[in-house]
Amino acid sequence: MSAAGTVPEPPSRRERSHWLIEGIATQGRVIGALIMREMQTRFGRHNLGFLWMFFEPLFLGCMVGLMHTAHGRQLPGGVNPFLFSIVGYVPFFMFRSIVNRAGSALHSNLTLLFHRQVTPVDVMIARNLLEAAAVIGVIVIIVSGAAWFFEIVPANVAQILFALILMCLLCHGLSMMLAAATSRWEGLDRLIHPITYLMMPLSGAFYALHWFPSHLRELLLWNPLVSLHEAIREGMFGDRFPSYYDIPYVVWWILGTNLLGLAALRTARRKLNIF
Amino acid sequence: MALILENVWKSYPVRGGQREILRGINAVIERGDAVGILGRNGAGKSTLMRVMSGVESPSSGRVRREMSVSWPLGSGFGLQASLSGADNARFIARIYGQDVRETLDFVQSFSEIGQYFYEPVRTYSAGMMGRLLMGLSFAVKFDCYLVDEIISAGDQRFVQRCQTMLEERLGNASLLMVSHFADHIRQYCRTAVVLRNGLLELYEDIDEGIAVYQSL
Repeated sequence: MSAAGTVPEPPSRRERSHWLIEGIATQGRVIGALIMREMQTRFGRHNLGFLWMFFEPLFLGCMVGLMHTAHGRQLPGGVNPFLFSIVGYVPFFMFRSIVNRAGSALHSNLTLLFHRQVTPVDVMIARNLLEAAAVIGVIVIIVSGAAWFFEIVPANVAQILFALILMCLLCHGLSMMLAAATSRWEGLDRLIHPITYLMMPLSGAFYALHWFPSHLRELLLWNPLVSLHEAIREGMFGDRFPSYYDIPYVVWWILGTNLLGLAALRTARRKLNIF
Repeated sequence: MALILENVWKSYPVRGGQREILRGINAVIERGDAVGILGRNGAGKSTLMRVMSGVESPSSGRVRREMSVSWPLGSGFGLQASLSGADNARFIARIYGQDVRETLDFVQSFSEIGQYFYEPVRTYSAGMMGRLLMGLSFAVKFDCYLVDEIISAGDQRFVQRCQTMLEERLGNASLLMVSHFADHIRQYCRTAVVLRNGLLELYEDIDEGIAVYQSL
């Protein structure tokens, strides 16, 4: 006994409540813990490391905005080209970072799956919430900055937020599908980057559908991202120029990708061999 | 309250087919049991641990966990190497819904790794890793501990501390331990099983089990 020193008393055990409450509480705790750990590993624990989370999309968005402003192009309706490109680029940045990181999501968190209550879905939710919070934060900063300094007041803030949330949900569904698929076919991860890169001109981030003839417009609207970008722009600039979008169509996409994603992750988890 | 394995099979895909590791294992681990699992390298001991803990699911058959079972405590499993020991303790406290402060205090004083508690886990020696892992898992008060070869890395003092901890819990907690060291199995366990050809052979007498293992 003396050689072992005094052994401390472990923390007391928590009272357990009904399984339903317990289940929801566990999921909440796990997602919270995963968010904390994601912030620590990605941004470090020093000083204001987590501010990088906002800085990266903000910086890139502003650069793209400045480039378009310097280009000196006149936009229909006389909208500010800087704002036009920034409200297009920043949501697209979220799409790209969520989808690009989906492939490595399970692999880089394998060691956490040793804890039974941590599921792949929790890992994806935690990562994507963080990404979504960053982008929504940046949009809020930019929109309020524009309102404060240049008195460009957004036409409909609720619509901007609504479209952003829909975009997060769509990205979440896609990322779950991709994470599951990558755990099955590893090579897929290599294809995701070029595909999201090539998606850029097809996503509607950098142009308004109004600029195109109607048959091209119809073609582009098959992509749900185009609808969402249009809805965000309308929320920002109102009726300075007409916008075209189909929210019910986007909602179907969200339901489809999320259900398929959940099912795929569930199957993937059963097949996952850990070390 | 038990951990029950019903006809558990586990196979892994390998080049040109499936390799069967576990071939229909049946077992009941009651509260207070202390079982040493012996077997040669590649016999499937770690696979058995992962299947029992629920980290991997069996290819067929069923694992029923009627008591809380730890994650398999092996080299670095369930830890995040880039984070410090303290951050890992916080993570464990959060996901198991425990008080963060109490957990930190307990893990720090049980593991006795001093300032290293605040350094990234990847800088730890095997012994420190083992101390941290055992500290973390004792902090959660599981009913059943699955220990995969990590106590072996610790020094005598640490072995005694683990034993004290387990004895305090015994009758309360059960222990399943994989080790290649007959001494450790004798110190911690009361019965032994030998995993051979994907099946378990139980030996009530621990020395008999060890003798069988050594003659493999």
